[in-house]
Amino acid sequence: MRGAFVFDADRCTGCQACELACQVENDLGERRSWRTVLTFNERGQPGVPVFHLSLACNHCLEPACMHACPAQAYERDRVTGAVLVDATRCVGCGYCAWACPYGAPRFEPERGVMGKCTFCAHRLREGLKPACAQYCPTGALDYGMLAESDLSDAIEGLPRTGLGPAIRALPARESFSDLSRTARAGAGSAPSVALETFGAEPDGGIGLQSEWSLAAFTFLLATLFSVLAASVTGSAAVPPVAFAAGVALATLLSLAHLGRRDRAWRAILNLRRSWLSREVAGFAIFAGAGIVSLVLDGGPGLAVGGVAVAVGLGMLLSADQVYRPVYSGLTPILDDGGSLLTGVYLAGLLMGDVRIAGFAGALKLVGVARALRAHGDMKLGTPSPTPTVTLGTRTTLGLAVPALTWTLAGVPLPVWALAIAFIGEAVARAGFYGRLRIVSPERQIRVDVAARLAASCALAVRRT
Amino acid sequence: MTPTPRTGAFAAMSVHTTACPRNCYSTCGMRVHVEAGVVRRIEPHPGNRATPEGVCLKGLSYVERVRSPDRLLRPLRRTGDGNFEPTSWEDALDLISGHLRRIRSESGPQSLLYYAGSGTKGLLNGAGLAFWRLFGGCTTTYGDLCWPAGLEATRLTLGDNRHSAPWDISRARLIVMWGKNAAETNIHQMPFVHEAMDAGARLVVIDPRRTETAERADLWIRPRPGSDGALALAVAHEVIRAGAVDEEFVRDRVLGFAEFASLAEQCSPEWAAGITDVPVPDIRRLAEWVGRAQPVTITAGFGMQRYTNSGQTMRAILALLAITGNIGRPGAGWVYANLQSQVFDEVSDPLAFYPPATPDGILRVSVSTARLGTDMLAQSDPPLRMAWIERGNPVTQNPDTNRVLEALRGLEFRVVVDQFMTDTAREADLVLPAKTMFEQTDVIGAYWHSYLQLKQKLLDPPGEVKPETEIYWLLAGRLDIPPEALEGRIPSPSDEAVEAFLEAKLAPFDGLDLQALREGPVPAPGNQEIAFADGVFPTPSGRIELVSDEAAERWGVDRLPSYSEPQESVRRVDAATTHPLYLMTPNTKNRIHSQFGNLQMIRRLDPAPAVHVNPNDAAARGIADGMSVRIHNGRGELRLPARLDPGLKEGCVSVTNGWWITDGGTVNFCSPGRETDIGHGAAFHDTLVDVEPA
Repeated sequence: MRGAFVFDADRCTGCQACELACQVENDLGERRSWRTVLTFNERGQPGVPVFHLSLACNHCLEPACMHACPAQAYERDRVTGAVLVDATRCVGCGYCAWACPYGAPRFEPERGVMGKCTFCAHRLREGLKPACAQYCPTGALDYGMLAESDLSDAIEGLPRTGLGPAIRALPARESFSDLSRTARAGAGSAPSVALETFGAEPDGGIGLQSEWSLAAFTFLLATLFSVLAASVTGSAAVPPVAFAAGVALATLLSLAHLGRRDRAWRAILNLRRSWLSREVAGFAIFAGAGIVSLVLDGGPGLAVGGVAVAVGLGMLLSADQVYRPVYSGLTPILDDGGSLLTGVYLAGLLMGDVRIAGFAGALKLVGVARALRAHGDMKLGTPSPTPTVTLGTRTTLGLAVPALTWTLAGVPLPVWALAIAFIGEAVARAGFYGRLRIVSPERQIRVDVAARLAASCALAVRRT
Repeated sequence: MTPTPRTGAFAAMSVHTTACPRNCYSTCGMRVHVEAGVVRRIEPHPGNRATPEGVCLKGLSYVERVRSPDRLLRPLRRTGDGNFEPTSWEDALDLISGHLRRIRSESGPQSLLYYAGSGTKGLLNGAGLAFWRLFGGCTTTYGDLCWPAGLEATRLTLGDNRHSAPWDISRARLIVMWGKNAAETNIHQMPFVHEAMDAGARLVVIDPRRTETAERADLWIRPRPGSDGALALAVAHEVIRAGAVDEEFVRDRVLGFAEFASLAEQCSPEWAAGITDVPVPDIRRLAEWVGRAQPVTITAGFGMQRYTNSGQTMRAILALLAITGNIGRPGAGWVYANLQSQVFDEVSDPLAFYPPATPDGILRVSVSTARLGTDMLAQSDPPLRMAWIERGNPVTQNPDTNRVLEALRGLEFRVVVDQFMTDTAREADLVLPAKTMFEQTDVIGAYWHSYLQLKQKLLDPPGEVKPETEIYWLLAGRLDIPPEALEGRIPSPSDEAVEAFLEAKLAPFDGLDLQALREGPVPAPGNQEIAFADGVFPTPSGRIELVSDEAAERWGVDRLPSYSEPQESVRRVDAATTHPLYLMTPNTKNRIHSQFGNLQMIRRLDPAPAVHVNPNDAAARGIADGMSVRIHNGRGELRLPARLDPGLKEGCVSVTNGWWITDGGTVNFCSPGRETDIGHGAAFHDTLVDVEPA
């Protein structure tokens, strides 16, 4: 048995009193609530039911936010089972918001930290229900102690995650979807009006535009790695100052999106579970060892450099794994713009090593092909992230030019060819951000409505 | 870790019984937690059986409303350049009394218009007219914006406006929500509706819009706006043809069945389908359900009785319940207006809305609320020179906004009492800051449940805010009205005086006093839980009147509830060719008319107006989603972004009412200043417009 929200879509009229009850109870001010009422089929497409989902944090058994948090800011309250974020520990990196499929944690700009539903733990301790559940005017939202077997997330619009959300969601009655039949006549518009007619809805806000500093940061990591690898293998002479400058720039970029830079050090506290902690820690060691190796001469320098390159591989691997919760394809490691693949490929080019560059380049080509196919499969309402033109440009610059130059002129590649290759790979990295999707109820709703609409249109066509 | 800074602080909180005084079905009982002069929590009062689960979002937003930085806290005086500057109460009252003395001596007291809206309920509202009588008189309005056609139809048919307790609908086997979107406008009715549906009841929703309520319907019918009367007559036709009439009930309780039956005989489903756009099978299905199900509750909205034919519409719908015996029984009935808590007035609504048969020479009741602007301009001997407006926002909420503005701007001096700088307050020469529900005690009734409730003073008015009773009391002093004349009419400015005033009002009723009301809601004395269960109908005949001589005599309509086309109709060729779209102006869950929409908590959810357009109508006009469009007719226009809405009936556009002009425009720029067929209501839904890209 555990405390859980009980939500009955049948009784919910979307009145949003729960949102205000949360605001008032938790003193969140006028412009914010930790609870959101979403509408399934907000545009009222014929033949598709309109109902609501009232969602806040589901205080999961396996909280993705807690596992992802690099700063150990999340805790589970033993008494109430609430998953809580401690504002005094949060660094405001926003990674929990990527990880949570329910959109519960949200960035609070004025405090620079993440905030989310507390289950009204203060009320639960006093034997009261959470304010949202207590004050629902229709009895659609409630709270109770439920057995695991009574919990359910089987309702359209709610991502099914296996995280053990503390919710029992009951779908709306069938008559909701029968609406088109009961009002068949006199109903003006046929169910053929595609979602696009009404303009694409915004996509949760993740992409190159919002994450440009991360894109620059990770590309810089791959570059620094390739440069150091070339230096260690003796293929290039790297001035320590230049490398250190790169490290400094990368550090600045990584800090750019933190809400609380003063607590940035906390980002390495969750090595046990968070890929983000591992990436940050890996970067610190790689950067330090890299500079030392470049300053030191001879054997010691080489040894430390070897360590730095090995750690660097782990760092790039972690950098890729960080994106797992939001990556829409197979795995970020095998993406054409993946950090590890890019780092190794660029290292191969700089080292003039045909096997390394060829192997990584071949994997990248497979990635390009996969991205092209995925682009063709794009679901309704999803903005086109990687136009064919971009993929073509990136392939020409990053892969074809080096390969051709290599074939015609041999190693080492001339500086201009290397420069073109780096530009191509930077474009590839940018493309990577177009393949990111935050799993969220908003997104799930769009997918599920599109499916319903397609079925409804097919039905309408069959009828006529 | 402790995420809650306030744990443990509840000890410092005090909890008080109060009730929401808005013009709303629910009139929620509340328990309000106050901490150090700040409203911290608003809970439902479990003593109100109609609203036990929780107050709505507007009720919760009082936390902001009472402390909003936009609240008016001092009198404001218009300056030469059209702005406002704070002024003292001394100066404000001197200014008002100066103008009052001047116009009274020059052209008589009736050159002042006293206009009061429905912004807040309470017995103390009577202080206004009491004061103006003592002043010597005034001009005031008759009729009502909201619901008179339905009230009058009900009065003519059943003799009185009362219905069964709100929870009784849970016993119905068939619920017909006729032109009502309870999920938004009467959310506390929905749990009872769901209860009935869980027990197997069917829900029919009749609405041109795909509303939150329609979504739940077993049968959703979308008539052309204004044609509901024809639909009802066709249903009656089918019920009678199928032999589903409750013969015994009709024989004992109904007057004029035979005449009604011969009217209905001419109203076939095929006839009605041509008028209403409702397909014949749906009319038949509705008739079958109405005829077979027992008991049937029809819960009718206010929107469909704001047409020029709508009193007759409401009578026709009522007839369906009469002929099937669905009145006076558990789970059955006509849920429209329950005025059983109107126990303090000698004359109840709608009669109280009507101009007196013989004017008393003091009050000139000569301005129809429905035609506010036109009638204000038309007043002569004396013409209007000054206006006092309280509890209302007529610039956005009365029909024909341009005419209202013209009339207001033509006056010499305007006083507006309000909590916020509304569109009407902007027109004033002097704006007086008004109290909120937490700042003066009053007793309020309701019109869906029949509880009497106390709206308690929990906070001192902020800044220099004064309750209206105090403003009048102070003005009386300046106009040489002796204090003894105010006795029993306007309480003096102290909490004790207000409470004594209210106690005196409660005194005639056994067991009813402020102490009882402080505990919680009290059912009104004489309340019938099942309305008309005693079979007593206070009509002239003592029966349910399907034929009404009074209807003919008083209003000049057919004795029978026959159908006629509303004045603005696409079936009248001339109108349709110029302005072929019905402008629907429904209420939203986010506001009570023009209240609440200015609060940040509400704005976060509903930031700006839009006009809903059916995609086919939009395509025909080259309108795309989000495009700015011009909604217009001969009376006025407004420009709003279009929102394509496949759930809206073709031929209709829809804008929620209550937006301020400063938000993008009131819907009443396009509505006509025109009365309903009966009851002196406002027929502002009788509005055709056209829409085009702006």
